Amino acid sequence: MKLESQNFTIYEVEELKEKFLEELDNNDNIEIDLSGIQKIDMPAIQLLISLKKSCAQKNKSFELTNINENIYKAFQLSGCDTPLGV
Amino acid sequence: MNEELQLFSEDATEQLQFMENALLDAAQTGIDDDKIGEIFRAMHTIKGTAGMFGFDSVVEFTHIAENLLDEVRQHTIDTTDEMMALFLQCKDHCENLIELAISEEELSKELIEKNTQLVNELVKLMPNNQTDAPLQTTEETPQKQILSNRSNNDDTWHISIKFNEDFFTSGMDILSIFNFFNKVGEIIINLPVTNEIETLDKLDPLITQIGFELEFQTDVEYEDIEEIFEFVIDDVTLSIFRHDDLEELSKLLESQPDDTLKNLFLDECIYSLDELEKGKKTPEETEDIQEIREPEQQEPKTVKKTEVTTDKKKKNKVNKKEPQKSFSLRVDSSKVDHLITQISEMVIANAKITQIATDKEDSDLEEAVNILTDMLEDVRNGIMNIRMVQVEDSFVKFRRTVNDTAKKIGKEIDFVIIGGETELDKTVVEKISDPLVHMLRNSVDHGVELPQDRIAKGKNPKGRVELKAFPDAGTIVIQISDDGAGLDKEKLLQKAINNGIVNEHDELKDKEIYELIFEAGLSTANEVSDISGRGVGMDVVRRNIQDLRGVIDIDSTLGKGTTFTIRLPLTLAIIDGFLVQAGDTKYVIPLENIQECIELNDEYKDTMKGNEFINLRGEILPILDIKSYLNTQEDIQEDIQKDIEEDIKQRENVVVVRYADTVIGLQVDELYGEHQTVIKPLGDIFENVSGVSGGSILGTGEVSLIFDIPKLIEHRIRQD
Repeated sequence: MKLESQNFTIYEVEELKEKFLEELDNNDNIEIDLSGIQKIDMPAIQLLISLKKSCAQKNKSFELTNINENIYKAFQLSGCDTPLGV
Repeated sequence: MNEELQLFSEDATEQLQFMENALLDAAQTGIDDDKIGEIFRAMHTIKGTAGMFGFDSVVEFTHIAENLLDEVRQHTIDTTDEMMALFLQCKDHCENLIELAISEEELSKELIEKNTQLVNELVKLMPNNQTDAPLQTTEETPQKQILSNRSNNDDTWHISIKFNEDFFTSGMDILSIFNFFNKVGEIIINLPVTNEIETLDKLDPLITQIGFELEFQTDVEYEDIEEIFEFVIDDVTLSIFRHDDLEELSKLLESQPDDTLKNLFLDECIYSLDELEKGKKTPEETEDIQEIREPEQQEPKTVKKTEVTTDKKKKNKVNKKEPQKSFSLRVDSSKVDHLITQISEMVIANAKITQIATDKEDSDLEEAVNILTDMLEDVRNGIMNIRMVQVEDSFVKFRRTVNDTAKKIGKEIDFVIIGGETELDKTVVEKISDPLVHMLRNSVDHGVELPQDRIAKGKNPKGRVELKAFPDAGTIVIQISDDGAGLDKEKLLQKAINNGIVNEHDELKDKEIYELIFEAGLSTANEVSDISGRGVGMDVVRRNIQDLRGVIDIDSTLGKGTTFTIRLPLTLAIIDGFLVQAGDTKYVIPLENIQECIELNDEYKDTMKGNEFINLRGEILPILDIKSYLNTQEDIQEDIQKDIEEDIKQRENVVVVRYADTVIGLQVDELYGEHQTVIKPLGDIFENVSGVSGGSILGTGEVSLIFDIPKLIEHRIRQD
């Protein structure tokens, strides 16, 4: 699924959690397209990690795609690039 | 604005004020190490805290200013007047940057230009011009880590961060904190601890479950690392220790519920199995970490982490640090208020014990109670003292007001502060600040003449404005005096007559004429400037001062100058009152409102003839009967009935109170006399009771109500 909003932050996490859950119910391969995201914060990163954990639990694949430079920097800075498999 | 940001804003304002004070002091009395130290610390603190919030523009600018200040502090360069002037500009610039950063606004073009200009000037002053290159403020331009050139060091710290679960909602951005880490040093390894993060179905995305283990390389000290967390210190669990401090490492591991962290360290090769198990020194085996330090001295360390020193270079660094930090403590004032309330209750409880001791004629008990009474008094004074601050800090701010105002209108002013060490209740100091600014501006604008006029009058071309504070008979007196033209009585009177404030045929005393300047809509300045003289102002000043239960007086000599004298109570928490009783309730009337007390004898009652007025020495005095004002008719009937039954003849009294120019009489039953009392706020129930400003507990344990005289007067006047 492609994230529609520009920001993926604490203000969006609750709504996106529901969407992710839906996605998890309907798909075997979870792919999150981050191309439109300009801003990300720690609650969002935590949500992604949680999603990845859920995928692993259900034996589904998990992939983040189209990560732009800003977002990649945030992953690196927080050391979450590895746990997210980026 | 969230709480952290609010704190930051307050802190930054305070630091900027320190800086300005030091700079202005330096301009007057010359620069010395202390002042440079103060300016440096202020810049340093602002940089540190701004970094936490990711306010890059502020961090970058303060960093450069701090560098130069550091050189000055080390005496590698000498200070000049220009440099001081530049720092003053930097202070103003910082203020602007911080304001914008807090409101999340973009820098304006002028501000960017100003930034570049100031940075260039700062860099020019650096020895050899070789420091960090001037930096752009815009975030887009990629740039070197500005602080990284400082950290060619060999110190690696381990930092373990666990957040409280509501950390996300505190508004602090964890990524900004990491970014700031990278400015103070370099995060070599950032290991997120994700085991506590639940799967999506159970996750509350607003609860913080992620934690971090950092390997951080820096040349700063423990305190500086801890300082990064200054504003969130209550919301995180931190463990900061040098990488090779295995004892701290084992403590950290022991505090863990399971082996997750240990395994994580092992998996990521941060620590070897030996290091993890033994909790004591072994040669490092870490492969991932590039810079490995020599093992330290072998004796086990039980002392605090901060006392770990390594090589000589490190020691030098320690010596270079600021000699001391401020010991002042920031406490929520409501805590002090709470203490005051409690101590006054203790005083009351103590009074009861004293009574018992006297009744029982137990001399031992009496003696013990006496000691207790004295001690309670001491404690009470001590607590009251906490609220007291020296007026100096607040007064020094005015120097800038006076200087700026004078400069704007081409006057030269010598501004002198006397008695800055005088102490006054913090709330009073804060509230008096605005009126003082206004009055000082007035003195500069209207009081002191232009230099050429002064020369013509044979005066020193430089005018003098004096701000003086001193304690006097249980009050604090603040005086503002200038050696200017003085108030022109004729002009004032004429203007007041024209405006219909005064009747042409009234004969006013000098004082009464001067007091006309407090009337709304009266300005004698022929031309209204943008600084003062808009005709609003002095009336507001007077009202503000009266709100603080203070009074203001004017004295003026034409051609010689004007003096304003403000008299303020030491504190707002204690009131000098007069205790009276009406019906069953006791009331306290603020002493400063009382003009006189008279007995309401038959003679007066005759003049009343059922009206609510008496004839007081030929003047009509409106009377407010407290009993009927605050009680229901039934209550009063009951009271009267009781009195008749018990054959008590009430002695009635009138307390004549005055506020501003209005005088009324309060009809009460009993007069008890002067009574100093601690003001306590009343509960919500009393919110709509007009005329009562607070409560107080008497020595007997009874509650008395404190009258709000202006409200009572307003009520009575409206009745007519």
